[in-house]
Amino acid sequence: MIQVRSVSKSFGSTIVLDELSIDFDKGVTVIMGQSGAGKSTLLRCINGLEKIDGGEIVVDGLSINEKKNIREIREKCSMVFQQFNLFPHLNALENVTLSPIHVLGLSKKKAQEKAMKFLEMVGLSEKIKSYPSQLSGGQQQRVAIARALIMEPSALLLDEITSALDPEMTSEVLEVIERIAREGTTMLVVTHEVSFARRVADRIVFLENGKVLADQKTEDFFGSNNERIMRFLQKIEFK
Amino acid sequence: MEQYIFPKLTSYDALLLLKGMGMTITVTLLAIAIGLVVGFFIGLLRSLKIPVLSKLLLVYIEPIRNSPLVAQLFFAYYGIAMVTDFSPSAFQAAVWTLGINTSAFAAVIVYASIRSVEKGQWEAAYSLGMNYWKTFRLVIVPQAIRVFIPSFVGLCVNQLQVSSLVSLIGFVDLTRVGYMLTLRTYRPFVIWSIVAVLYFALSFPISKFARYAESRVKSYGKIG
Repeated sequence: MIQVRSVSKSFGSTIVLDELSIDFDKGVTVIMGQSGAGKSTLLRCINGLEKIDGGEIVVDGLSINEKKNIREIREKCSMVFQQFNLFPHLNALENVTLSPIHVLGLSKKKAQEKAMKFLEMVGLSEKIKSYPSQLSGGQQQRVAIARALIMEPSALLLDEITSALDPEMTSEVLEVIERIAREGTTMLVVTHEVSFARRVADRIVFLENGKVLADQKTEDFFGSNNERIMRFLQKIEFK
Repeated sequence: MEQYIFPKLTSYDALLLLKGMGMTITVTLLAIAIGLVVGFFIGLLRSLKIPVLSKLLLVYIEPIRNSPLVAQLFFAYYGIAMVTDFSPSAFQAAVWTLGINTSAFAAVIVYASIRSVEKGQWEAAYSLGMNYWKTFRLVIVPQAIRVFIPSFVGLCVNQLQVSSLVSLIGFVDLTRVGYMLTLRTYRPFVIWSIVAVLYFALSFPISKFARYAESRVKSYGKIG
């Protein structure tokens, strides 16, 4: 569904993705690795937010190297960000309905009905009139998840979505994600939450220095005797 | 004798003051309209960060912001007529010079307002499939405008004050009427007090509005 073929990306002289190749299919893939390993950059490249220097990314048969495909690819891969990035001038409901109305061409009424469904799914049907500044971090992130889900993407890209949250809010957001995962949504998740990854992931991809170091089923990954993976897991579990 | 040296202001003089005030308002409003339209496009183009174009726009913006308006007025009114067939009237020179002057400052405000919106807002909108214009119109402008309004109103107040310089190319605005009445009556204390009060009457409400607009910006998200 998403094919990444020898993709390279540098920022200045720093190589972030080093001819990285990987395929993502249905199910939940968790991407792990040290900071700077290229996890977020990989998601951002798939979403066309970063231009790749070389190689190709194909989403549902659409190559990202063709400029005209980028918007369609973004519709297919909705992204949720670490910093939520809700639109502060719009309330929760308007945040969720903005793109259905203006990108998918839904009527306002249809979009609102649909938005209510997704806001309910993330447990925020009481807060639809609240502005982002009136919501907690966890609530904001859940609105952002609803905003991404309403586009009915073929894949949801989650970029360290709990890194800006305190532990209590982290668990409320991860619960929502687990629920969505059980419904069969395809997800690419960059996270440092090991226990969450263990519970939810079908597959774990471990990046190091812009390359795929390991690409395994979840149980195999956590039972791995690869020294570098073991050291990494130790480090974040004792954090 | 005393009446000759200190003539009372006649109703004709009052009319003249009102006329001057009207011309000051006209020139300032037209200049602000030009400045807003031109400044918007220049600020917007600059925000696109197109390498060569950005530099070219600075070649427009910086000389205008960093040279005296008087020099610009003299250039437009006397200079252009010397080297071309076109000789602008004092009114045309006043409006266009003040307008272009305003546009350079407005461009900087527009640019800063657009840049004040976090990059993540663009990215969030893009990742939902919106294109540049939809993002600009639906996500960026509503946020940028809250930064833009107070600064732009401040600029308007300033341009109203400096519009008095158009009197130097002979355009009959409020300041010019002040000169004329002073010459005739020899009562500068009274005349310039009146002129100052009239400027104040135009300017103060705008300043007030700027402060109001600013307070609205700070109460972000609690308006609706």
